[in-house]
This record gives sequence, C-alpha cells and structure tokens, in this order.
Amino acid sequence: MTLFEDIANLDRLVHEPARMSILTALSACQEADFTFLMRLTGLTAGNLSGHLVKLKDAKLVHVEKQFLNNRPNTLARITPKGLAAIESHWKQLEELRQNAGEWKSEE
Amino acid sequence: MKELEKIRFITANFTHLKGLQMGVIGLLVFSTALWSNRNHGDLTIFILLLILAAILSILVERFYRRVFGRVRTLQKSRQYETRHSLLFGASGLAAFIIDTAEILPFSLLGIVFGVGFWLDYYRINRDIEEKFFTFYPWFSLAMISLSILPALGVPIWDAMGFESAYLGVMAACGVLMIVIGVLAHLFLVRSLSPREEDILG
Repeated sequence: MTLFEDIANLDRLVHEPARMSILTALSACQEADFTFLMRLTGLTAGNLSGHLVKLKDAKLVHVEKQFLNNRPNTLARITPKGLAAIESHWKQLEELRQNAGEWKSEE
Repeated sequence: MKELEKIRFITANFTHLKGLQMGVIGLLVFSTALWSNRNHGDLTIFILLLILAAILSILVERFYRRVFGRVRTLQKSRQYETRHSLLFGASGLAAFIIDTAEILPFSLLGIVFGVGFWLDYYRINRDIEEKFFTFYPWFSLAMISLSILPALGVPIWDAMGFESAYLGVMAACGVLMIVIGVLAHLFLVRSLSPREEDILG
C-alpha cells in the first residue's frame, strides 16, 4: 500500500482535529463534562455540541445530560468502540510518521 | 503527536493541575509550623486555621468546577492515587512523630516530602514521551538538601528563628507546596483556552 493510500484510509470521522482531541481526552479519563472539553479544544459551545453529536451518532462516545446544583451539565465518556477507534488511529498516525521519516531519509 | 500527549496529560492529571488546592494545603502547613513555633497549648488559632483552610478549599473547588469543568479520572488512576496518598500520609505521620522526638540529626519529614514529590514526578509522566513538570525533581532535591543540612552542622533553622528543625522543615514544605501549586495552576490556565464568553467579555 502506498503512503497516499495509507492517508486516504484514515478514518475521517476520527481524524478531524477537534474530534481527535475530544476522543484523546476522553480516552484518558472515565468521563469529562462539556465545560472541560470546551476549554481543552477551544471550540465554541455550538461547535463542540456538533462534534459530540457526530461522535455519539457513530457510537464512539456516550453523552449524558443531567442537572448539577440546578444547572444543566453534560457529561461525555468514551465507549469501547470509541477507545478502539482512537487507539487504532494513533497507531496509524505513528506508522505514517515513521514511513514518512524513512521516505525522507532515502531521498 | 506532542499535542495529543499534552491533551492526555492534562486530562489524566486534571486533579493535580488544580494547583490552588495544593496552595491552600501548603498555606495550612506553613501557618501551622509558624503557629507551633510560637504557641504552646492554645488551640484557638490552629482551629481557626483549619476552618479557614476548609472554606478556602471549598471555594477553590467551586472556582475550578465553574471555570474549567469536571473530569473523573480512570478507576485504576484513582486506586493508585488512594494507595499513594495512604502510603505518603502514613510515612509523613511516622516521620513527624520521629522528628518531634528529635532522635535523628536530620529531618525525616522533609525527606519523605522530597521523595514523595520525586515519585509523583515519575507517576504523572509515565507512558508519555514528553516530560511535564520537570521542576518537580529540583524541588525534591532542594527539600532533601534542606532536611539534611542540620546533620551536616549547618544551623539553618535556628538562624531562621525556629525552635526545632522539624518546624523549619514543615514551614519549608508549606512554601514548596504553595510554589508547586501556583506553577501547576499557571500550567492549567495556559493550557486551556479561554471560554467564548471570556473572549467576548
């Protein structure tokens, strides 16, 4: 498989920078709330909501809405499918990085 | 990949990055050392210090929740954290008792603090290539050095007006915790983006 084919095979749903950041963060904790994810990614509330919906529809994250001290609070956690997807994606990125390095040194 | 590691680091260590919490504990440790150095028997100020620290801790936690949100760490991290805290707490208490008996020519409490911070540095940086909080080992080294100075014949704590070496070490531990807490807080603030409403004003 060529380098281009490797890149073309990357999962676009996971590869999008904001969604990759969200999944990476959620893979390192049990759950995180909306405020934390907004701070971490630098996204606006609307954008973050959109990305969470896409990840939720793909069953990569589980989103739970609750009230905390009479305030709405959204919690997100990664699903086993989501964890497998992001781990496989990191592996692919690492392999691509190594391949690109070898290609450069052969030049 | 470095940015992804940083994201993982911040999320996995979010509790530790709430540095103002450590600052409050450091302030309590420092003021308790100063109080013990001057008072013998009157517990009123000590109780007031405890109440003040508890109130400050609640306010700081509310601030972090409101501004930076909430993260629940992984179960294995929580278990490790509990084991580490129990071991560190028990060692600290034993060292404190030994120090107050003034059996050893150096401060065991300071050494326990120093080693504890050193171990914490390895714990928070495990499984990642880039190292964060590289100042931890330096602070540990400073703490261990300050603890063994009396054994080397340097009367540092007497010169600073402390009745006993362990009170001086306790005060130094308090200051160290405040500094580490402030540095951790600044790291968190710089790493997380301002909220939309903060930008808009």
